[in-house]
Amino acid sequence: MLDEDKEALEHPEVQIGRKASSKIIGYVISLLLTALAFSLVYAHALPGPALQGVIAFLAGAVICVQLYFFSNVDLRHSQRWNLITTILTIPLFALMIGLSIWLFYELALRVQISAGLF
Amino acid sequence: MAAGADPTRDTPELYSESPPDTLSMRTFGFWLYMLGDSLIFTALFVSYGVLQNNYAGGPTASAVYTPFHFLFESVLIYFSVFSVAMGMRGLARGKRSALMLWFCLALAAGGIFLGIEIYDFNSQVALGITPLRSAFLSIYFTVVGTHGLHVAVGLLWIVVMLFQVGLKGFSAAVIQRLLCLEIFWLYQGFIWACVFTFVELWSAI
Repeated sequence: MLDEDKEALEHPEVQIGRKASSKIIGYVISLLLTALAFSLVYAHALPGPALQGVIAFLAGAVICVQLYFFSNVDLRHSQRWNLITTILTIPLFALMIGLSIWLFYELALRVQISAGLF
Repeated sequence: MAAGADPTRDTPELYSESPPDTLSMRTFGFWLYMLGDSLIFTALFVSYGVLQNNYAGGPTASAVYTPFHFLFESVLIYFSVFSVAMGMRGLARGKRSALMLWFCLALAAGGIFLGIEIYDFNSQVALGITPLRSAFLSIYFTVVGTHGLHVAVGLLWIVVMLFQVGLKGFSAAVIQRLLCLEIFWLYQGFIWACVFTFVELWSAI
């Protein structure tokens, strides 16, 4: 085996994924959160807007759980830039989605013959 | 005092003898690429939010969606992501056979996921539920289909890596590709969490 291959195999990026327990925990929690979201909607457990908020939160939780347990994105020094760039991309998602939906909602109101048909 | 400066001083290191850590840099670069790739899906989710009620007299969301298929697909795609992560544990321990076994499981789960999606699309098209029917159906097929396309590319990538690990072993270049594949597959899980929640569940409320 070449030196550079050995070096790559012992690299922190590779060795960070050594723990099996964290991956199993991540998978089980993801399944539980998904089942919870599905059953809440199936049973219509809450009024509409509240339910939308709760399951959106659960989707965010699934992503955070997988980031932490599968990809080991945490406060560790070697993972810091992955975390920073991911967090700094969230405002981009929020701005794109929020502003576009707002724009099209207002547009729809203004082009209807009578407002409120939308 | 000697010419050498105080080694404990806290100034940035402007010059270093050690070679750059290309493995970390490339992995981080691919991470940034996947964040950019997520913006494609952001645009698609925006379009879905705008068009989701434009049925044009055609079938509504509740007539098109198959909730239990979506639930089963979630179990499969998360299992596939989990399997790739477990395969990377095989890499960390230097065990080729463990990695290949877990990657085969990831391939199987991802394959069944894609099979269900194609089956659903086929049975919908047979009922006249096509992207041409309404704006809602156009964006539904685009969102789910774009994710499915990513999954198909990822499955091809897994097959290629199975061959490369089998033939070349854990060389530096193969390890680099495996790290990028893990990131790519992880993101498909994230996107699916959003598809499942904002496309399927929200429309059922």
